[in-house]
Amino acid sequence: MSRMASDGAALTELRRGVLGPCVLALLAERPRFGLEIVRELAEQGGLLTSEGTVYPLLNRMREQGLVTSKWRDEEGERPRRYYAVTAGGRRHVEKFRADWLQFTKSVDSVLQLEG
Amino acid sequence: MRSDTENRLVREWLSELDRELTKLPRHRAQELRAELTAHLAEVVPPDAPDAEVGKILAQLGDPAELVTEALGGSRPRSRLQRIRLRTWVLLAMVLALVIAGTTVSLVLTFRYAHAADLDTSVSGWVFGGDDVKFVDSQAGDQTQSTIPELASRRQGLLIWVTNQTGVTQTVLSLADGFDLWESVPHTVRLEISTEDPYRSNKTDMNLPYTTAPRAIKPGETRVLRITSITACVNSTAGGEVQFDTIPLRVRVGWFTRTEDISLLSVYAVKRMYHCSPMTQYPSK
Repeated sequence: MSRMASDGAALTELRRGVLGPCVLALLAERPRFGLEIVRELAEQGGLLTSEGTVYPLLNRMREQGLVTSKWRDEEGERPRRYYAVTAGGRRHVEKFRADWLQFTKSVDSVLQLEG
Repeated sequence: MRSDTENRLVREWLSELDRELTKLPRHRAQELRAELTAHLAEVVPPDAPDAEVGKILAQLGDPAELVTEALGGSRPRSRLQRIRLRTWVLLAMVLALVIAGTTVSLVLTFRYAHAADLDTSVSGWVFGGDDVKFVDSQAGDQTQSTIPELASRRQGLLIWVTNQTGVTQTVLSLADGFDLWESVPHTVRLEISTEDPYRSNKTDMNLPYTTAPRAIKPGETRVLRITSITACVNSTAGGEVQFDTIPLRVRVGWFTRTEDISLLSVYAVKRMYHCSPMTQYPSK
């Protein structure tokens, strides 16, 4: 986990913008439960402002119909709510991938010019 | 394993979360709380010291910020703003209801106030069992029918009335002061057919009748039977009382009014002077 106390507002906004598509991308691979998503994003570093951020995000995406969820009670495990991406969520992440490529390419280009 | 909620710091954190969750719709608040509680149950070790629990809670985030995130990233409205918004929404709803109610009331009032009276299509005399003495006489193009008035027999009028308006009219009673016979003791009875004479195979005398009040819906026809029995008989020298309308009390919506129901003809009833000894009535 790498919570940075000195996050700038711009970086916070950038995280907020990319976190949703990142969560959808993980769910597009396979259904996951909340803590599992938190841990995987935390491992990447720099994506989470706080661990709890993932839960309201999932809550909101479920309301928007981008993900669905259901409780699974597997033997020897705690009951957990598993999230899966919907068709709408999948389209959303595909579009983000294309936009992100163009966006980073442009930013890289400008930064190199300025550097 | 110890429940996460047994830790004092966790309990405080969840209490703060609960206060913030009131900003979310109930189903979303319940779901978010369940997820965060499940998270804490997994990551807070049993008997963890407060310092460790505090660190875990700090990593989890501030309840207010998490709820803000669930709301879409924008800061929730202040309590005062929410109260103001609710007040305005409530006022707008009340105003809309008042306007809608007033409009409907005005429209209905106009319709009720301007509804035409019940329309007569047929009127006739209810014989007292002596119709063989019925006599028609002609004077120019006018026809006069003469029918005996009989003591101790039910006699009176049959009137077919149609509600040609778009609103229901309820016949309540005859207007106060209406009498079939002048100056003799009798009680006038008003009955209304429960079937439409135009849609029934029965004659108007054989239709089923009920007493008022009775509603007549738009487009319906009903027969009014207005009858009375008197112990008196008429005198040829007694003069007569004429009428061509019958005054009825009728309720139209929230108005009650007197409608003068046309008889289509002039009816003349002889004044009565000679009554039976049991119900002797002093002559004028």
